Amino acid sequence: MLFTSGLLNTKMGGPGVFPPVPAGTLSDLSATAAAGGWKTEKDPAQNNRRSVYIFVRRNLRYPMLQEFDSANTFESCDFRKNTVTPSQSLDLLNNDLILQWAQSLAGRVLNDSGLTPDAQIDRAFKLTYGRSPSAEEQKIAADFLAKQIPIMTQRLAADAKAKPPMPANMPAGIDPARAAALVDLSQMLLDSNEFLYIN
Amino acid sequence: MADPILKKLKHHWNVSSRREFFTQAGSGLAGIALAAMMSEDGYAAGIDPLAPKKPQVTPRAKNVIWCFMEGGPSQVDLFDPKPLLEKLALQPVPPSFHPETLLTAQGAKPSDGLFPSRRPFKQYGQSGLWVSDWLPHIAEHVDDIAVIRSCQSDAVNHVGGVCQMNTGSILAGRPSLGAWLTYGLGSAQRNLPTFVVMQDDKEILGSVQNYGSGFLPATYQGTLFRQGDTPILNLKPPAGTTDEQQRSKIDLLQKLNELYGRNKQEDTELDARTRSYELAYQMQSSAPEAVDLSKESDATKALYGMDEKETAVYGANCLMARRLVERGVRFVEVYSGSGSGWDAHQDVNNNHTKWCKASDKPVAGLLADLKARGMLEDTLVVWGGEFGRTPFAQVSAGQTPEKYGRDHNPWGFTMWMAGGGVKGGQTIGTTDEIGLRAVDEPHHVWDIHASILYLLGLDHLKTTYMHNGRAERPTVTGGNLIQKLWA
Repeated sequence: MLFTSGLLNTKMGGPGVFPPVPAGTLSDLSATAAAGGWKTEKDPAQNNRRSVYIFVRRNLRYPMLQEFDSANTFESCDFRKNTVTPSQSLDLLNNDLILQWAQSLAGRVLNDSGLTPDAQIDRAFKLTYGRSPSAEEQKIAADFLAKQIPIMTQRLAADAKAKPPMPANMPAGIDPARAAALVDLSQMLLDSNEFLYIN
Repeated sequence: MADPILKKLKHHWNVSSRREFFTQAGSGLAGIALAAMMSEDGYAAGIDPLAPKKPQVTPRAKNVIWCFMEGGPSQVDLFDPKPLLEKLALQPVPPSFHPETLLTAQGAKPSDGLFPSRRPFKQYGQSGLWVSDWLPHIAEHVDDIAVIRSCQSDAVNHVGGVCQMNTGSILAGRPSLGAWLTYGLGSAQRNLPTFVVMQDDKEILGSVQNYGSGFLPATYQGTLFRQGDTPILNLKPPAGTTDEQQRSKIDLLQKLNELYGRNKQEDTELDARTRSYELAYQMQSSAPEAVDLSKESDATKALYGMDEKETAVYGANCLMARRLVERGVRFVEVYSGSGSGWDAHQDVNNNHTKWCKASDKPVAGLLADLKARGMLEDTLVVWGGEFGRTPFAQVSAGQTPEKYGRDHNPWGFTMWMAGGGVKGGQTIGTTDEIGLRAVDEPHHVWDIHASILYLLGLDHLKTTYMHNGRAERPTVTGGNLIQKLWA
C-alpha cells in the first residue's frame, strides 16, 4: 500500500521507527513507559519505512501488524498463521494511516495530468491492479463517484470538523467534491481482494 | 454422489459455498436456479455460511462461556481432595500407582514425594460438593455445578494441551470448538463476531491455532479482543464520515470483490474477507454499545469484582462475556492467566493464590449474574485448564516444602460445567486415591467436546466437513457423551 500510494520510504538500516498507533492503545503504551514508551515519529517520512523497521517491543506488537498475524513475540514461530477477521476489516476501513495512503494514491492519480474523469478511474485501477478496468468495473467506479460526490459536497459545505480528507498535493482546478470522492475510491481499491491477494 | 457411504456422511444440512451447493444439489437444474436466485440478492457469492441452521438434537443451551484457566490448575488443591496425600506426605508415589510409567513435562519425579494440599476443603451447598478455600465464591454455586474429576488429555505440554482443549488435537491445524459450533449452528446475530476470545495477561500459548478455523471455511474463526479499555480498535470511522458514505464504500468493495471472486469460489478466504467487511460495518454501530461496560450498574460491576484491583481485569472480561452472549454471540472464551499463568511448577501456593483470587469472584459473579437474568438456562459455563497438576511435588534444589510446585498432569484432572441444561450439584468420575489418574468414568477432551456440542444441539458424529477425502469431525476419532451431565 505504501508503494502503490507513492509514500514508501526505501531508506535502509538505522534504528527502529515508531509510527503512529490507533487511539485506544495508549493505555497499553503507558505500561511500557519504563522501557522508553512509544514516541511517535515527528518526521512523517519515517512512518513510511518498510514494516521490518518498525520497533518491536515484546509486550506491545505494533497493532496493525498484530491484526494481520505478525509473528508472536513470546515464542519461536514455526510457521506464519493467516487469519481473516473483522478487526482487520475495521483497520482497513477506519485506520487513519490507511486513509492517508488513500489520500496519497488519489493525489498520484490527479497529478497525472490531462486525465478525463474516465481516465482517472483507469489510472487508479492501473496503479492498484496493474491493469485497466473492465467495462463493468469502469461503470461501477463511475457510479460510485457519482454517488459520493454529493455527499462530499455536503461535507465540504459543513463545518471544519466534517471536512472530508482530500488527495495529497492536489493540483489546482480540480472539483474538490470529486477529488474527495476519489480518495474513497482509492481506499476501496487498496482494500479490495484483487489488491490484497496474489492471483 | 452415488457412493452410499459418501451420501451418509455428507453434510447436506450445511452448505457454505456456491460450489458446495452445486456439489450437494447434484448439479440439478433446480439447484442451479436456486443458487442463481440466492446470489442475485447480494453481491457475495454463494449461500450465507452464517445463516442459522437447524440443530440435529434438541438443544439445551444456546451459548457457551468458557472460563479457560490457562497453564493447568491443580485438581488436588481445588475440587478433588485426597486425604491419602496427608498420610503419604513427602513419600515417593507407591508402586501400586505405577509411577514408572509417568513422563513429566519438566521432569518432576514421582520419587520426590507426594505433596498434600495445604488448603482446607469444605463441603458446600445442598449437594455437599467439595471445594477448597481457594475458591470461596465459586463454592457458593456448587448446586449449579457439575464437577468432572476424571478429565484426561493427551498433552504433556502447554502448547499441545491448550491446542487439544480447543481443537481436539495436540497438533495445530484443526478447527477450534467455537469454529465447529458456528459452522454447525450458524449465527443468531449479524452485528458482532460469533466467536470471541479474551485474554487477561500475555498471549495465549499457540495464539491463533487455538481459535482458528483450521480446514473449515475461514469465516468461522474466532475474533480476539484486545485487552484494556479498547477491546476493538478502529471501530469509529474517520471524523466526519457519514453513514451513507461508509455504506456506499462497502457496497463498492462488495462489487469489486464479487467480480474478482467469480471464478475463485474454492478459496473460502476471499469470501470470508468480503463478509468480514460487512460484519465490520455492522460492528461500527453495534459493538461500541456491546463492549461499553459503563452501562452496567456499580452493583453489577462489584458482583464481578471490578471494584478490586486483583479481580478487576478478569471481572471486566467475564462481564463483557455476559454482554456479548446477551447479544447473541455464540461462543466466548475468557482466558484466566493467558500465556500459562496457572503453570505452577514452583511455589504452587503462591501461584494459585494469585490466580484463584483473580478469577474466583469474577466467575462466581458471572454465574450469579447469568442466573439472576434468567440466562443461565441457555448459557453453558465451562471451567478448566488444558490439564491439571501432579499430586507429587516438583522440587528445585535447596527448596523447602512450602515452595514446592507441581508438574503437568494430563492423566486425571478436574473441569466443571454449569448452566445450559447441565444438572448441577454432582460429581462425575473419580481419580485414584492420590489424584493422579482418572479411574472411574475417565473422560477424554473429546468426550468434553462431544458433550458441549450435544448440549448446544449438535451430534459430534454428524457435524462433519469433507477435508482431504475424509469426513472430519470435531472429535477427531473419539468422543463419548458424558450423559450424566444432563441425565
